[in-house]
Amino acid sequence: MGITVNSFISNSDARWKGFVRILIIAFVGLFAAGYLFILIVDPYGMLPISFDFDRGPITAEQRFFYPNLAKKSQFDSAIIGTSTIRLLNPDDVNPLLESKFVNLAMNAASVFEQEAIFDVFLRYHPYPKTVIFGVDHVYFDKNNYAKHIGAVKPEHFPEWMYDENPLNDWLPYNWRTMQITLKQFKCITGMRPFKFRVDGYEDFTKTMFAHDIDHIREVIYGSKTPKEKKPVEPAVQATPELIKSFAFPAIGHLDRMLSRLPDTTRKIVIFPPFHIYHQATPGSEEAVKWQEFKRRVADLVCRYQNAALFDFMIESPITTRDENYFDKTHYSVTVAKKIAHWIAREGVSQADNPNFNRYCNPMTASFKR
Amino acid sequence: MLFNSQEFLLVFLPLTLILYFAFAGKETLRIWVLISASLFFYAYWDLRFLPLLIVSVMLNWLCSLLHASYKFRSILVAGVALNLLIIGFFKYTNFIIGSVAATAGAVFAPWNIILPLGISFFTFQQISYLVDLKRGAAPVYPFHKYLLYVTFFPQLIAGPIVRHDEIIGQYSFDPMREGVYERLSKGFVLLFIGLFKKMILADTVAKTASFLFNDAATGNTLSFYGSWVAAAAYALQIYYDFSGYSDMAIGLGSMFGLSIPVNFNAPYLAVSIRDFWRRWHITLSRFLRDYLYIPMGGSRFGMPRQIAALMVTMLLGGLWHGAGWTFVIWGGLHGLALVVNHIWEKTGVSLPTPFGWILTLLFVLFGWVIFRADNMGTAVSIIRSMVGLNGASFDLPDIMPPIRIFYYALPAFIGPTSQRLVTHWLRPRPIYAAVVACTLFYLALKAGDGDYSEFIYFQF
Repeated sequence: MGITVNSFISNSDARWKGFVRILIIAFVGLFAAGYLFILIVDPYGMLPISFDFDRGPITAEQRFFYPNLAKKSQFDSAIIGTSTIRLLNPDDVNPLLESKFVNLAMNAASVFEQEAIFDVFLRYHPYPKTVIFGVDHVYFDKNNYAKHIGAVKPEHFPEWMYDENPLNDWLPYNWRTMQITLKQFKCITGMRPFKFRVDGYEDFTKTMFAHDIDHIREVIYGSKTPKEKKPVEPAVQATPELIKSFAFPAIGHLDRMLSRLPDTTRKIVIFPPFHIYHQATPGSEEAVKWQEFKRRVADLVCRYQNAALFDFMIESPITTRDENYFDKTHYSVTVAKKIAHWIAREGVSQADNPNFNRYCNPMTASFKR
Repeated sequence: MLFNSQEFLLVFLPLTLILYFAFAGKETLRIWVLISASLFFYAYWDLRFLPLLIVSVMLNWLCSLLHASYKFRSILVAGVALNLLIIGFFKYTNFIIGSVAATAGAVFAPWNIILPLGISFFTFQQISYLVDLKRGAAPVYPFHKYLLYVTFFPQLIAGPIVRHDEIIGQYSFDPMREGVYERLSKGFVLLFIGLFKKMILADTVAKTASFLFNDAATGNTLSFYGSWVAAAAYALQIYYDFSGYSDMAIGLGSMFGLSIPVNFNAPYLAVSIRDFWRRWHITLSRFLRDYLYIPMGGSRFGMPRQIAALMVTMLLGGLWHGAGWTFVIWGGLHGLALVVNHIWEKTGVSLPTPFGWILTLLFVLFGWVIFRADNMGTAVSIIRSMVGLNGASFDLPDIMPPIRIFYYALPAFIGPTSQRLVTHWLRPRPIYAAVVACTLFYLALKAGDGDYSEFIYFQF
């Protein structure tokens, strides 16, 4: 029934032989040329043998492009954390700390991801000059930590780019890789700009100035009118039993990272300035918990040589001014500039600055400027 | 392993072709190459399915052998019953018990029965063989040929449903016989067309269809416009998906020198519902006609008997697609339409062709809504929107614009069928080979992205 392919076999088999030959040769040729192109461009800069092109981030997928940045020899210092520390601009920090920073902070990075990118950086820079860690709710929240254990999916987090196994660095041969390769090729040859700067910095608040204060308040308070948090009364008491019940397993990752840094490396840990409305309500159990969290982090950091801890997550001129914010946890680049300045210079001389608390005192001489 | 995966396109297929042609001169060996490849192909999905397939083939072949040796006709009846029992258990147990429980007002938690892939297809092929044996219209084949007949990987999972007498004889043909390069070329081109239909057309419109049908399933009422876009998107999806699969199966068969029957012939150009079933899933229509409709009397015993035969055939045809009332109702509606079509033909009055075409297309579209919907409630809600009972809103969520749906529909309505393109239009010109190679290269890379979907008919 119906038409069949074989019913139309003609006598021109020699020409069909040519057809098959061209089809197979063209397909195999394209296939080989395509992969060769990927190998030469090496879009993520991860292959064991690779041309020394000036690669950079070409899409917003930080997890795919930052391992390459972490390997670059032009840097000697790094910033590790989440988006709450991403606005720390290497251009601001470099001259202040006489370092060459790469900002490896990734949006919503779990502590596992932060440690993974730190590992890559340390592998290629065993004696860093300075490392800045942003310690925020990702370290504080036990549930967030538990959620990430064993749940980092390869499509979101390409573990193969972070490990030490060169055998798994060969790229999958698919259309997505080909598109990425084409984009990287265009960036390398100057036909298009990189998505982010090659030092990892990106001002993701560029759009904030398009928003008026009403919009910002809407994001912060859920209304155009500022709200105030009333302290909980009576205040929850920090009893030994309550304190003992708090667990912050993610701090172990910070400990591990700090312990792997040489004594000569400056270690700066920051609690970033969340807007006051999104900090714990005074007198609440959460406030007690944050206090205890900060204390444990401070105890840890101060055990290390050449380390300092700056707590910006307090009630301060920064955190109480709505105009300083993009949303509840992300501040403006102006604030980021101030933070850079304070941690580099005035952290030592201005211990009474109302914008932060400083721990680990006295600092080592090398840290003092 | 899907046809639209890199494992298949870059490893499995080239290796199988190389091995097959390496043993082209040795019939038994090349048949075993295809059998081994087919069993590997099947087991790659889930190794647990393989024993059922092999046992099913062995039992059916034993039935044929016993029948030939001892002339036990009842063994063939038992064989058919066994096939129906197997498919009934795997496919319909939960449906039957669930329906009975619902009628009795009881709650039934479905049993965890995994449906083996392709069971509807390989069971039907085997039933047709046993019935033909009973009719004295089939010989007993050597085991390896029968095994290949059932398991041949291009059509094992989702057809076309091939008859024993149109393929088993071909196993003896030398693959290197005259026309080998033409068969290979046309096979590659059909594979390319099928991949294009599936990966570019079907998978794209599927996003729109799934979004809208899922939206309706959650209780939202689709707008008038949205409901028509949903129906059109799904009509295109199922056509490109299934005809694309069939093109690939036929193309793969051609590469191995085997001719597999055509399954689609521009179904959306049908001018009556009878015409539609001559163009849609042709091998299933043929099976239902030869093994259900005609044995039940067909048109030989007057109109009432014919109506009954048509209705039973189409209800069972609907049920074959899936264990659900939406499929039964869809089949029943098509049965009714066929009955009306037959009665209309008796009157001798003929509709103008464009009118017949529009009427048929509309009916098919409404039918697809029932076929696709998760339940009758969702189907009724969408149909109410289509006929304006939910208002005449033109709101459409921010998905594929209707103009793009229109572009995607063009190949189905004005394009040549794949068969016609390959048999009448394709010439052995180098530029064509280069274009096919470039597009195949793109599709092979696209297949590696990992966001491909299974074929719709795999679930049946």
